Amino acid sequence: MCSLLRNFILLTTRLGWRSNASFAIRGTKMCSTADTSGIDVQGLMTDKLTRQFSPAKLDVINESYMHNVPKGAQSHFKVIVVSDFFKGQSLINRHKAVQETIKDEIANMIHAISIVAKTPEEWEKTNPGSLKSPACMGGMKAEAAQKA
Amino acid sequence: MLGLLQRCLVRQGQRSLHSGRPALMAVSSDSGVGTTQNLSESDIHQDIDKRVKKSKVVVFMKGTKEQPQCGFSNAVVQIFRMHGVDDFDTVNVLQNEGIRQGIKTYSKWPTIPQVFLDGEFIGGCDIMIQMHRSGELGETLRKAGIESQISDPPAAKDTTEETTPSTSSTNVKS
Repeated sequence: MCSLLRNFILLTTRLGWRSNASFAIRGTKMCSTADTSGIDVQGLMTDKLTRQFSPAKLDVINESYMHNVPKGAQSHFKVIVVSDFFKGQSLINRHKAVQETIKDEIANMIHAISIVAKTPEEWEKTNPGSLKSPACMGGMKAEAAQKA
Repeated sequence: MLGLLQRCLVRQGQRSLHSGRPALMAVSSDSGVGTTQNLSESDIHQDIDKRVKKSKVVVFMKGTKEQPQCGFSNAVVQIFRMHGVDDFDTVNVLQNEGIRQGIKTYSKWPTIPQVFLDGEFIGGCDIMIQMHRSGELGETLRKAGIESQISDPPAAKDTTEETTPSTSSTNVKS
């Protein structure tokens, strides 16, 4: 029965059956982002990061408008976390700590995340212009076209 | 019957959501060499293991070196180009859903692109940009025996170009 259901899900998502199956899309991750309308993704991530890192500075920026997604989307985010927590930690470990804190949002709600994790001393020396996100290459649209 | 199916689908979706890790899916519409169908996670990890050890530098990305399909993947390719490193392998995860999901559990890193040097994961786009800016990337490449054309830490200059944000509002879930 389980495999039957799985095949059914695969079939319906592959055929582009969307009318009544947003939960199936979310569950199977056929699409990169779930329907998050009604969920304050930015607020969720802000709360979790504040609790975890007691940051001296925290910015959770919705950069979705820079990408090929519908207006009001919550798909692309940048988080800037400045905290003593990162002292003496490698770049990879800093990023992993941030990723772990908001892993549910990364896995289930958003498409892309850019992370800046610095100590207050490093932040003092940071040129804000250097934190610009890469330009969009139309990736999500290309992915959708490839899967269609 | 439809109601039953819907309930099961919801349950399946919730399981996947709670695990925080999507089930690996083999998609038959994948094409090209290296398509993984009905492979277990450990099979996929073995496949990835072989791929990361095939070359000094391997980048798992969206699109190809010639035609990146994501700004983050493009940034990584451009950084290597700036260092004069052109001879690196890429794996287009958009061509292989199994690898696209499997690479995240292999490296315990949830996003793409991912860069491997001598079989070791060294970072994603943000880390590559930061390593490039601090001069650490040139140093790391040289330690691995790869000649970088950038000898000194680059000046505070952006690695990406500004372009007009897209105004299109195409529904990408089509």
